Amino acid sequence: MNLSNEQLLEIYEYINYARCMGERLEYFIKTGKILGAIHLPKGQEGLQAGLIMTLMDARKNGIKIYTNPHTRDQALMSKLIGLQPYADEMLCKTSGINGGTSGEYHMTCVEKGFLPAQGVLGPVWGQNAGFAWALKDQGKTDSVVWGIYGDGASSRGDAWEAMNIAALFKVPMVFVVVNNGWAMANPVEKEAPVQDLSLRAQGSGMRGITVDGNDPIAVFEAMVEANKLAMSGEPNLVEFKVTRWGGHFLGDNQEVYRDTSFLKHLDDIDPVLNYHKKLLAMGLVKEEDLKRVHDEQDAIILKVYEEGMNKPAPTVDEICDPNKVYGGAY
Amino acid sequence: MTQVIVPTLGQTNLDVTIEKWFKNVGDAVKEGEPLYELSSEKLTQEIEAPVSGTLTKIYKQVGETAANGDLLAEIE
Repeated sequence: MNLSNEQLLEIYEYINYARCMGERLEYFIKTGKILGAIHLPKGQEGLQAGLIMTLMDARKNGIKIYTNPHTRDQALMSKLIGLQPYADEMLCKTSGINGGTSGEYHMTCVEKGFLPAQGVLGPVWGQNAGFAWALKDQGKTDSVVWGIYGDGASSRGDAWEAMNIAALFKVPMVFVVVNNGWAMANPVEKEAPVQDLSLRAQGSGMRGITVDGNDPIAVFEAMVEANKLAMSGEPNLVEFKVTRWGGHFLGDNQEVYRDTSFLKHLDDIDPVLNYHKKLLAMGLVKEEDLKRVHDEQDAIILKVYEEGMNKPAPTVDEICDPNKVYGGAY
Repeated sequence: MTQVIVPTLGQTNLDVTIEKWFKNVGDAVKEGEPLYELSSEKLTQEIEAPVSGTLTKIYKQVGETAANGDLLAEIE
């Protein structure tokens, strides 16, 4: 696939947006504006930019994406449902997408493509597959479900059942495995006997591929292809290899279980910087554009959060109203 | 004046212990510079100064415990 200069620059905006989203979240948590535990996206911005680009491209082509982004997908979440309803929900305000009651992980808005998720990660693939089955049943051939989960979730038994049933019923679903090498504090080599988790798709007769998740162009190309296959009755799996820079959540002291010497050489693996260098070599951006675009994206995010902070929070009665827990979802 | 309060990092409200102050009362602080370190049973985290200014008051000393939302210091 040959991307146009406009598309390459669009990705440049998204990758900076993802970086700023992580930085601002960290700032707001540390200053007490947002409550933990939040899993920060630092180091996984290449994947975020590629997924956002695929989402925007799908919208232009009349394809509806349903997904339930979770930890480290904050940039994608906000693009899926809109930055203001996302930020207001993170701030626990009534103007949030679920009235300020959902917390980060349980945000839901099916209308906008944000599927509900339960707290145990692996089984959600089963729910995703069921949703994709319903889409197929209803003849919605222009829709696809992305089940985005990590290396740890993909090792659960429920995940295998989901892959089996999705392949059997040929539902429009892409299994997305974000392999950042760590299931919380457990390294991937202690949870999986294979190097590439995409191999697991073969057990259900599905195509599985492994892609460099640090390269947003590779992510975009892989997901466009995966969507096409899924919508033509071939559910499939895409594994993205990325690096988690921080602890599992902000505050998690990863020093006790992980060699973090790589943090001294981040410039070599920084997906934002590497993408900037790529566009620089192509003559599409100038050196100073990195800071300019970063600051532009940061200003957008900051403004929305600052607006959100002045809005009302739900009352105890509103928070405890069971009908509002999944408000707007169904 | 900006209040420095104990953030909620984990999923539950835990008492945290102040492990270290990187600045003393009267020191100039810069936004983003490490200000203090906190720990609890499951976490350790360095926290940066939220704004630039002068650290005018420290309410919790090293070794003292605090809860989420407690006032730790003031920056003017």
